[in-house]
Amino acid sequence: MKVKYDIYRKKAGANGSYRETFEVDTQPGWTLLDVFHEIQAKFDPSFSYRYSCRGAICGSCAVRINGAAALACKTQALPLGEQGTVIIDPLANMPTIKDLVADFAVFWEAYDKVRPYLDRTHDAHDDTLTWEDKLSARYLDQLSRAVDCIKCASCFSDCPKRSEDPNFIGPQASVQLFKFYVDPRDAAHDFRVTTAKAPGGVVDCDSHANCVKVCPKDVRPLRAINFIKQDLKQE
Amino acid sequence: MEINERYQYDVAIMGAGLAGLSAALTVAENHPDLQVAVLSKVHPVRSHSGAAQGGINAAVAADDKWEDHYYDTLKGGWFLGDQDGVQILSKQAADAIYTLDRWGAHFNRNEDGTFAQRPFGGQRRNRTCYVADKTGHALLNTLYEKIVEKNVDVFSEWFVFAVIVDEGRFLGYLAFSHNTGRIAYFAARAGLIATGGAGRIFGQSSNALINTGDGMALGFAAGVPLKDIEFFQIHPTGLPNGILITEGARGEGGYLINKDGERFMKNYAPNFMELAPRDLVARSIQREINEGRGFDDGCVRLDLRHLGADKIKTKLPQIREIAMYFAGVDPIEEPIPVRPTVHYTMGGLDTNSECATPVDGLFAAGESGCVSVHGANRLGGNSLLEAMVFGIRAGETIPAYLADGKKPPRSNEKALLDRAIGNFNALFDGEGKDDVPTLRAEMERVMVAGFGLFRNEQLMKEGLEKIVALHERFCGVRVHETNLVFNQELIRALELGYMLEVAHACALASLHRQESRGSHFRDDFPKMNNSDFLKHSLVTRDGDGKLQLDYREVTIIDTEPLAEITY
Repeated sequence: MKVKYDIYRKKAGANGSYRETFEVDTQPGWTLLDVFHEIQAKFDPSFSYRYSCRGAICGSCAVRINGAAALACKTQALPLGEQGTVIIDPLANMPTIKDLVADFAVFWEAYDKVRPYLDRTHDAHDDTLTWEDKLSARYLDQLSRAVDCIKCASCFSDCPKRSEDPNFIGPQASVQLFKFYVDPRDAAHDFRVTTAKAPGGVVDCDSHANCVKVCPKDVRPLRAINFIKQDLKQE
Repeated sequence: MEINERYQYDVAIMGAGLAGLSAALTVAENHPDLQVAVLSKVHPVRSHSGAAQGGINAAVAADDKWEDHYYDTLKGGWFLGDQDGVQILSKQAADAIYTLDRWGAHFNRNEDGTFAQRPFGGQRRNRTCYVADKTGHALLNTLYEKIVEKNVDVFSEWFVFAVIVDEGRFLGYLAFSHNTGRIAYFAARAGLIATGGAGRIFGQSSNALINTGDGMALGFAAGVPLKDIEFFQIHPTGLPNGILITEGARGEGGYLINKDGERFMKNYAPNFMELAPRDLVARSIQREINEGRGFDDGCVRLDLRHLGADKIKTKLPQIREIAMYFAGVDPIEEPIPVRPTVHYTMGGLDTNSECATPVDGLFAAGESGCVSVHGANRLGGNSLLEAMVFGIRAGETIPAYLADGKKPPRSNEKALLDRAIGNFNALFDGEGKDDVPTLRAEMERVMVAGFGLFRNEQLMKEGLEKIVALHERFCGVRVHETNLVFNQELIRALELGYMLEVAHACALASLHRQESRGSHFRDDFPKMNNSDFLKHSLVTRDGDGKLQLDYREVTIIDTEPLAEITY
């Protein structure tokens, strides 16, 4: 079936952008990433987008599809095309380098801000530590979701709070913070609390819940955020 | 185009998956005086290590022994693995797990707090540690977190296009940045190639689109032989589009079913059934399909329904998601269509057990290297392990190598760089008779047709001739876009060149191995032949640009190779 794709285009180094429509004969079973490959191979070799695993685990190919962030490799093209022209944009809340390639620098800055690693200065090596015993079941489900995060930045792109406040660390960094906030092995709990409370920290979230809607891995960042908010109130 | 920047490092690592990052971390933790750079064509967390699902093997259980892991690995590799390397792999495995745990990985645990382990193919006991069915993803992200902590210099989205070597001594890399389009020379006292496999040379592949053998081809061009490159593991269970369904699905108790509803593995491996080694299961599935017992879609079925919704949701959540999104099947309700898919490159850049290649100062680890530990067939759960153990090992042997303050001679550097830049610029001046997508599709078809699960003289001879012809046609390719910022026309051209190099070496080594061993199975030589072929193949390029094939004895320490492999 011929499907029209209305795609954001920007040349490298150019200030302005433009839109271009490609009419692509779309095969059953094709994902949007397959459509991008087809456009690059058959229509315009200069068309750029990120890709790696094509199996929804590497987080490279998130773009906005009809206005909402999603992984191109996890989105079937035909069902979208049957509803009309498919509108494709790069991720929002960050600059665009070229075509659908967003500049992730601000995303990784927010990630780095929360010290996104386990601080084990207290116990250099304790292989008998049965830390899971110390975690209640309610942490575990959420912790496992936090581990699932693939850093595709869909949540970051579609976060209304981040749009209005570029100081807000956004949903992904909040999940990253949560991961260590609940890990009893972490020696930096005071830092986690301070970071969560600081201006632009987890507590600034306005609970729009877009992050829950667009997350391709069902990480549910808002739940992690609400957990920290609740916990801070009790402290 | 010309070189815009020059960087100077002690150690420059190409590739940021499990092997590259664990090497970088090991150097950073123990030798803060050494300057380390990691270059990767994708952001580190996009590396293909993250796609590994099932787990990582280690004899960490109180009643397990590394010697058993050692033997299972040797036998699974049809005794082509070097016994010194396999000893290191199995002995160091537990430490790798403890290290990952210390770095923050969330391994699944038993109720008593010990590491949970699942059964994997070809092993006589449960030995595979895991993080649900997303082990690689969890470990890769853990390593990246530590990289941030250690403040390692990561050159993310930099594409290496030349390994500079002067008379057998490594000098550095040439690379360009996708983000800025600038070209830089990374001069280093030692280099590590850890760029993963080349499974994309085959049309049906589980590999990420980025697995184009870059490091293998660049190391090969720099003078490192490609060892055992005829051995590409074909995973038994890929979806029709190649995406992998983990062996863990069978480890958790999944059945393989033909169209008659029969658990056909009882005819091929009555003891191990679905958990026989991968090569055997893959050939069994293909035989069922070839002999008309597959389903109409050219697949057999992986049936998980009897495991129940709870077990599928808790132990195999990602598998359920993949089956639903990429095959339209919920494994709780329906069996999953599966067929064999190219999965892993056992061969690679020739290294010794210290990760050193024959090029002075150049090391390799992980899937792009070949110690060899996997021999002719890798066991499930040993790939993440190899990446960790030999990544860490390279992180130890490289500082030892540099300890005497050695520096490479740089008198010929300028001429070598000029030549490399000249070769690069030539890509933009080709005749343009052939286009990259066409050549690439042709290569993928030729490799599947000639070097798949059932090989023979006739098929491979034809395949080799076609690959040679494609390799020649590639010289006429022209890249039109000259701006280097996210120039995927250029990237795909460079990657095709790398893939053809590996495909060519694979075709040559395959044709001349006149036996069946592990993943290399020949209709015309169906038996393993230890007297003539218990040896590694080594493909090199001679001064005239011709490929040459040589062999080297397998290192045997204490275990006599079996004459026949049965399960």
